[in-house]
Amino acid sequence: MEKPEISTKTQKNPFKWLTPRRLRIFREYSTAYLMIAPSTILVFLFGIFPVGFALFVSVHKWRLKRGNFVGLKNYVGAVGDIAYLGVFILGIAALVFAFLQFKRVYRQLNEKPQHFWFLLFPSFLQGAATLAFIRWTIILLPNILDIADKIRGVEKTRQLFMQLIREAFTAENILPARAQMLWLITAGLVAGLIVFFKWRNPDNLQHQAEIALSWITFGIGIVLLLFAYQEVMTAYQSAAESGSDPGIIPQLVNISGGVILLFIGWKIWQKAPQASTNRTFFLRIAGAFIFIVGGWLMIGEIPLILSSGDKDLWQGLKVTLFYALGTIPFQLSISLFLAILLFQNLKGSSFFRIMFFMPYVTPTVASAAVFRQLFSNRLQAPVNALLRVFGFEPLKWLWEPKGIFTLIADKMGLTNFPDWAAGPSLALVVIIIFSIWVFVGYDTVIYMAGLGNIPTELSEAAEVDGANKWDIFRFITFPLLSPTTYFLTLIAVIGTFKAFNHIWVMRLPASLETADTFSVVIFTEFFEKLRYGYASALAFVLFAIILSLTYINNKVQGSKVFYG
Amino acid sequence: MVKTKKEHIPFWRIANNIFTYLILIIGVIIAVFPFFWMISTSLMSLGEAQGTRLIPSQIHFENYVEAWKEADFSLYLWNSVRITLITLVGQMTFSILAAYAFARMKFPGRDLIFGIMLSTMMIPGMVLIIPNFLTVTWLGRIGPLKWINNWPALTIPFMGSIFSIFLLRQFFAQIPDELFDAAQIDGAGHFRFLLTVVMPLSRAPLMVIIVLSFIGSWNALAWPMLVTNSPDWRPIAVGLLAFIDEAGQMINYMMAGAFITIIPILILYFFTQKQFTESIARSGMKG
Amino acid sequence: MYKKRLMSILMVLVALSLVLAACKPAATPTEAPAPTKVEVKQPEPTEVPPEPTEVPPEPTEVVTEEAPKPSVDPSGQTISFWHVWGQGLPNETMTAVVDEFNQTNEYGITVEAIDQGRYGDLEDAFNAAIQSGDLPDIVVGYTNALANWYSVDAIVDLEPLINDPFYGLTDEDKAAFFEGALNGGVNAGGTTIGFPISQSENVLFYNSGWAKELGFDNPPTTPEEFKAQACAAAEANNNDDDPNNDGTGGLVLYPGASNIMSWIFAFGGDIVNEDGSGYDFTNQSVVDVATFLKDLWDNGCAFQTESYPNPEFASRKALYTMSSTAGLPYQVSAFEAEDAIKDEWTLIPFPGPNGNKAVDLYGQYVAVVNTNPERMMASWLFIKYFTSPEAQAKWIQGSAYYPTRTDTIPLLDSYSKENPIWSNALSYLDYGKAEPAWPSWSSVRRSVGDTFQAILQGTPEDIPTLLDELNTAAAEAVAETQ
Repeated sequence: MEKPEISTKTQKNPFKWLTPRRLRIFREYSTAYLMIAPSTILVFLFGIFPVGFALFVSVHKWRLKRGNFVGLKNYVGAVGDIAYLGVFILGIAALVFAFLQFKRVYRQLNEKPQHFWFLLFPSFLQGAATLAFIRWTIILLPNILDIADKIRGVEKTRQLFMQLIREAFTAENILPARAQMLWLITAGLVAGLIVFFKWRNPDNLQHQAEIALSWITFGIGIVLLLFAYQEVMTAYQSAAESGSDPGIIPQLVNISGGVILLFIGWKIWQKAPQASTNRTFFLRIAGAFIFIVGGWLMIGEIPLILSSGDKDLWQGLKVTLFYALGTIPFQLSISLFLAILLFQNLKGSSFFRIMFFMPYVTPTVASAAVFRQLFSNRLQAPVNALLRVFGFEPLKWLWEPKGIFTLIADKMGLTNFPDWAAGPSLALVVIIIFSIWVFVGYDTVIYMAGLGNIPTELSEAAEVDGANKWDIFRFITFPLLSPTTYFLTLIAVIGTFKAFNHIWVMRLPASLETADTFSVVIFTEFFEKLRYGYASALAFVLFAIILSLTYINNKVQGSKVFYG
Repeated sequence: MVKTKKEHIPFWRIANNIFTYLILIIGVIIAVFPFFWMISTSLMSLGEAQGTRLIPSQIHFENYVEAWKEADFSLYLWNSVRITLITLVGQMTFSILAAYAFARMKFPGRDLIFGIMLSTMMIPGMVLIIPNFLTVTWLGRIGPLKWINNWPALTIPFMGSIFSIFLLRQFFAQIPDELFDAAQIDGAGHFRFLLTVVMPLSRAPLMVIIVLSFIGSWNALAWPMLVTNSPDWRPIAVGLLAFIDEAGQMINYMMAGAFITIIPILILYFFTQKQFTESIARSGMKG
Repeated sequence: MYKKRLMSILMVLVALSLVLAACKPAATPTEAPAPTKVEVKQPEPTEVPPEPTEVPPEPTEVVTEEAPKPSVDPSGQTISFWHVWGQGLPNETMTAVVDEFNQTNEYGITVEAIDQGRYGDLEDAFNAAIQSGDLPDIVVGYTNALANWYSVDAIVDLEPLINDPFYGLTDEDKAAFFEGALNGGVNAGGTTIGFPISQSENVLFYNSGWAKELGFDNPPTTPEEFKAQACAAAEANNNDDDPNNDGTGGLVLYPGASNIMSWIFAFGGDIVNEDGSGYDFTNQSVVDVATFLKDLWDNGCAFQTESYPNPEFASRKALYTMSSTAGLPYQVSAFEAEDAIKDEWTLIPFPGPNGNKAVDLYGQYVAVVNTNPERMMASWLFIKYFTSPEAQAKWIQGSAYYPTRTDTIPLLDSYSKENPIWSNALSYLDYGKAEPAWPSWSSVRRSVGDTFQAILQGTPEDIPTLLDELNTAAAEAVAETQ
């Protein structure tokens, strides 16, 4: 029905731009947006908004109730002066990202560079509108939070809430921000539409969105840098009052210099193999070496600065690291082994698979409660009973705060075993065993699927060529499984850093906090000490760690992943 | 071993098989022993449960009667089932739609939106509880639904599941383009293609979502406690934990309670295990 | 070409600076109108009653001669009460008493009792409600939690309600309350933030039957006697034929803050420093307690269990356990189990040097949430009813707690006779002492537990260092809450 009508319209001048192709794109876009709308709205409400809120909390003194804005104080309490550096680097990174994004779009519009320059302006307005919206939300939020105090002892009706919400939205302190936001949104829309009509590029909207995104990142970068500057100045001021030198600026200069040196060194190192002569090759290697050593020397201060942060946090991080190192490699190798065994088309292989998978589907509260009993320190507890059957001494398991290496050394009669080599406590080892027990089934199943995706012809051909089983595994199966391994490591890394429920059920006071991972530390700060601001700051520190680990994992493993 | 007349089975093959089975059986024993111990202990008297016995000398089935009497497991189980079912309906509908759009349609900001959604999975959840609680109260205050102490607060926040979207997107992306082209030639749009071609092919990942959703509801503890103030909607984990508290060191009761809790999940798992393991497997692949 | 690009960059920069400049002046005025914020709130008071904390000052002294007139009219209010007794007999009793109040009170006040799970769950719910504003009217909680809530104005000073000339307590009533119980609800600043509806004590559960068999006719009255009995029991279990009970027998030593506090009180000490402004964990009695417990532990006369040691106590694996009297019903049922050894047992106070005795006192304290005068008065009237001798007697019989007023005790005669073990500990209320009602106590009590656990597992030389660290942590917690 509609189509012919439109095609007649396209004949006429004013609607020339409305070609059937464009209409189809339009329809496709709007259908897609409608389809993702419910999920996106829910994820925004319950996944992204709370993250923003937590960020807001983390820059306040917020013990049960919102106190003053304290800037980076919570972060400095957690990780020391690195917090300033963190914000500074984030700011720089945002600027760099914005620049790269600009450059990328510019390249895409290569044949029509003037489009880029004209798109820049409406996109700027759109980006500014987004930032103005964020600013407006930040100013509005306290107004809404304050309503909690206004409704005490009042009959709570919908009318009352509506009225209070209306008042919060129209309160005078937010009006300028609102006006600014509305103006910018209108201007952005108008400018965007004008450009959209003016330049008939099918990807016009896409480019506008991309440039707007660059502007947003640019703005965020500027704000972060200003914020870092202001925070450093405040730190200096308060230090001047007490007559000490915080020494933040030399740290900043040193460390960022070090990072740049490291980066340059690494780049040269990478380029070294491409050198034409041996001499240049060695020169490059030597140069890279100097840069890298210099870089390390300059960032050598980091551990010192970090040590001024929160002790609990470092303890938690150490435990988490042990936990990750204890679970991931074992979990993956055991399950790879089982998967290869199961993949041989044995009788009853599905039975084994079902059994291996059972721990994964069991609710944690129940299975962790069972493990608590199995690995109890009682002499009659199943695992200790088993040890005694074989003539071993019973152990304290979940009750043991000593590191396993210390325990082993004690057994072998070594005294004065150094503390730093103690390793994870036996209590943590039990928790590690539990995690392995839970996840081996899951990993096995995924590995089996990975094995199923490997074409059999390859290994058959290799077999004909006289390769033995180990060779086939080493040179064919394992490399072809790399996407699976990559996926599983990624899931496992995120999982170990977020692990909480089973640890909470299994940790005992007797283990003296040796099983308290980072997430447990955050939990106690939040729910027991009620330091909402500080706990939220800790959560973002953890987020930064997970994100950079994921990024490194992507870079290191991702480059080696062979997508068959 | 199995002897066939046609072919002589070499010795190493038999040895290999014996070895394989040995390892697998040890693996199964490790995987299943905790369950075995749970059931066995739940049928013992307290004295036996504290001792080293593996099998009860006399079956004490009354532990279950006692546990059932002590905590209102039937109500809690029913609540968990209700919560899961409501969550599932919403989550499946929304996730299927979104995953389809992310996997098979092009629109500005697609990867950005998806990326932002994915990265929220990495935030440790405990700091998000308070803001979510505020959101839920405000939605209840100015919206048409009663949220607190009612199903919306327990289900709606979980309907937008990034994990389900991710899982389905991976699956949908593998469906060959030819199918879509063919459907388009027949005049089918996205929705018809989704309903008639994609959905029937996706039974396996949908099973995963169902079972994982059940597991999620069965584990949920802190959030339901915060948004309910009566047992009317409190789920099973709350009941189990309260029971564990009450039962204290009565290991036998505790295990009876724990087993009651996991039975429904295990039954569901055994009925769906084939599709379940298969699609868990496929979700991890390609990307 | 280059020129053009340069021009464009310049253009953008100019535009940028324009907008930035436009932002700035827009940004600063938002700071300025801060005072107007207060005015914006002004039109509301039609809905929101003004400053509810200011319950009209009671003119008690002035008008004592005439009959006092009610200052507010609490009638017809519906009051919500968050509590933690959602299970079993306590729940039934609570519901019954609340129903009775709803039916009989002359003001037409209705109380809705809402079970919020355990203490921890209730605290989480209340903390969240502080953020959202959906607070109840009455809430029960540990005094350190109440102190936290008082520090953010969520609950109110109860003095004006207790002393209200019309609705308050008479002098007789006030005198009937155990002083210790009332004082436990007073915070560091001298404000009454919680009112005790009942109380319980942290005591020693003592297997007197087994002790007699071991040759001890009387319960221990000094730490030395305590140790002798504990070690004798541990030795008996190590030397018998059963290898399963080796390592058990003495005291089940869970170093939770309440247990530690009980010992410190028994040793005649406290953890509050002289001027009452902070903690002091390095005084002699704390060190003595640490040394004493460490010594018990090292000699194998104390051990630990995963969870409540009721089955151990009921099967001669522990001569003593430390527990709240609230655990009595559970212990009684543990002795009913078929594997139990049906010994005589009883409750004894913690023995200190020179025959000193002490128990750590907990109260079930309720607080009134900061709402409006009418609701707060209605809440108080319910609390007053709940703590009246008749209602309290019912509550005690359903919960196995102890009364907070002396005139309830005569009403509990028959209950006392039926529950001899319960009535044993009734007299210990006199030497009970409460833990500090400070906001910081929430995190400090956790550190106390952790520290004493570390003391047990460390070497005796570590004690001063660990206590020093505890002192520092406690001081930080105090600073954090100020």
